[in-house]
Amino acid sequence: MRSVSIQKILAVAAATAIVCAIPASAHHSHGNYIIDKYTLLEGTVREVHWINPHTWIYLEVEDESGKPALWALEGGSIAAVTNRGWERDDIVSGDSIKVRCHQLRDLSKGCLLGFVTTEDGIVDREFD
Amino acid sequence: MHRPTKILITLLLFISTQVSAQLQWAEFRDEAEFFSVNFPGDPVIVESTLNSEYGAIFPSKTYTVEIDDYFYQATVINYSEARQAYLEMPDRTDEAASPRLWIYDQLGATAFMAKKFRERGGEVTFDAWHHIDMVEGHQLQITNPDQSRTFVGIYLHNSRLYVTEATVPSDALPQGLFQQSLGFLDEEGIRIRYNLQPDRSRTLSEGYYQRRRGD
Repeated sequence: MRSVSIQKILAVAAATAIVCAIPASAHHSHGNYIIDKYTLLEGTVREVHWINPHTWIYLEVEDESGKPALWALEGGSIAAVTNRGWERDDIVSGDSIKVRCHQLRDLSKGCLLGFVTTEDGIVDREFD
Repeated sequence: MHRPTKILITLLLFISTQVSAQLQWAEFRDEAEFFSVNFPGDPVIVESTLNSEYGAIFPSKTYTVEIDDYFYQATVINYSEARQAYLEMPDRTDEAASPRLWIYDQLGATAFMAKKFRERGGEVTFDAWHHIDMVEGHQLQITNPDQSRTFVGIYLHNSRLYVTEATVPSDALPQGLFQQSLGFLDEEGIRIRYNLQPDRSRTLSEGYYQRRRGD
């Protein structure tokens, strides 16, 4: 039997770990979002668009005056969110969710996901 | 305010909200023009021409979906015959016959188009370089004088300028679902994606080659 040195095994393992750790480059520039700051939102899902190149969640959130305001939350592609463990029915219209996301730089109601927590016990899972 | 007026305004606001909720989005592809984009319906396609920054005329196509106050349009301007277009300009000057002007016209096409949107007026709330799949371009967000909002994306790829414009009521959501859905296709209709190298050059991504191989 051919022997394989410990050093070789460690080298392959390290290389694999590095490759797995490199995130896929984003489909588009995120320069239109405030990427160095999270916005926390909590509300009721009104629409889910399970579509490429990005999935979208439209979330109704109570604003400071108590009025409902709709937000557009941009997720990853279908393949990307599926790879994170999401299934199409994990988030549907009527669900209450919490998100951490990056708001649009012009401060309109759009936000880049980010992490999602659902009522069903999914905690802070990436949706990008 | 009179009660009937209040009821009417409430009803109109309700209808406006419902229009937003009813939009059904799907990918649209024109492989002859090498692009895809998400639309909330089948677009009306119109062929036309467009005058470039330096006075040449290029073929263009617009793809438009209008649902009440929601306006979505993609435009493709084809610069692939730019060199010939300059040679055929009937009143060209010596300067217009410059051996490079047809290239400058393309390199400046994104900036020129962005300027045309700014000149429409309104408050520009976002105005910055952007890319989709590492195809360079520009994004604009404008609040128009009537308070409607316009979301623009402009990208130059393989001698075609792609422009997306969504104009929606003041209370509508940001239109990223349309604005950021543009994709660029190769001659076989396969989505192109580049990687950016440290020297700012681009190489086609491994994912693109995998799609070509059918992996």
